[in-house]
Amino acid sequence: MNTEMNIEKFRHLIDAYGAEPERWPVEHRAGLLEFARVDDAGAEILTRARQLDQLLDDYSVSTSPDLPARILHQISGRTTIFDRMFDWLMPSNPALVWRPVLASALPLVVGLVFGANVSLLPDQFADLLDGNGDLYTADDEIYLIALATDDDYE
Amino acid sequence: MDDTKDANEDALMQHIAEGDQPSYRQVMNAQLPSINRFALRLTGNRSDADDITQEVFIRLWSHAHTWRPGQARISTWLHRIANNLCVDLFRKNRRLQPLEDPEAEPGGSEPDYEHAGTVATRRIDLALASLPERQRTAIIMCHHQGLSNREAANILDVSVDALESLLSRGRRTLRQKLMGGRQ
Repeated sequence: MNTEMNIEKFRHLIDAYGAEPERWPVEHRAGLLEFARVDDAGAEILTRARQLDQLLDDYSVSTSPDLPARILHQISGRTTIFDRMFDWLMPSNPALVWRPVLASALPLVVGLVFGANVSLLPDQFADLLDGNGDLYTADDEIYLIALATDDDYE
Repeated sequence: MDDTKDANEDALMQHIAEGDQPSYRQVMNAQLPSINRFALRLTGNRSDADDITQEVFIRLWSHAHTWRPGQARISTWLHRIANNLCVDLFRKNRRLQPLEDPEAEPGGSEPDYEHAGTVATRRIDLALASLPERQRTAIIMCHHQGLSNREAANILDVSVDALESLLSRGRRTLRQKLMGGRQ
């Protein structure tokens, strides 16, 4: 897109983005190139901007060679079986909130199912059960005590 | 940015969110040098830059699920995290500075010139460090990191016009400091 260009706009854009066309906004690139070609003042602005660009280009810095290994060590330190279990149970993604809910509800469900289906009472206490297999309640106990005579305690 | 690249980046981030280390390594190998240089240019301190880079890539691993497909490039996302960490560091260092130290560097920490080998590089490092934080960040992002004006504006949470203003003022100051009377 070739937008209308004038010296103020040209100066503003070159002041901001420098002299290299690949750094210019795509929508202004053709207009800037054309203006620099036909306008002497524009060419002068471009030359000054290029000098600063060259100085900035000289500012090169190196990277730390051991950094990738350090980071990978940190990451793999987070991937033991316990970390993975913890990450699964405590996800930072709110959409996965069902996981801790499910995990905390699971013991309750298991307990209910186990309690409904398994009797833990040893055989010698079988006489404490009524005809339906349920334990005598406290009311039953009081009722039996009330019927007892003194002879029963001698 | 073309759609194929978008889709590839989205797929990579999806894999990383699922704990796929090869995808993570792929992104890290491609992006780490650029992010490390960005942090070093912003902070002027090798140790701070390495710590920030490490934190950026740990967040890539632990926050990959927050990636929103089609919203940005991975590079822009990582630059934003790095910039936020640098801003936090500058704030922390400013709080720790004595109040009677008006000559302190804008970034706050002592500049480390080990990375800046040549005299020319040191001059530019000093000139950049003397700029206000956001002007310095804008110039580094657009000139050195190769980000587009929209990406840089997005990272700084400003409009493109405001970004251009930051760039113009920063470059004008640099020209005065580095080129003296050669206006």
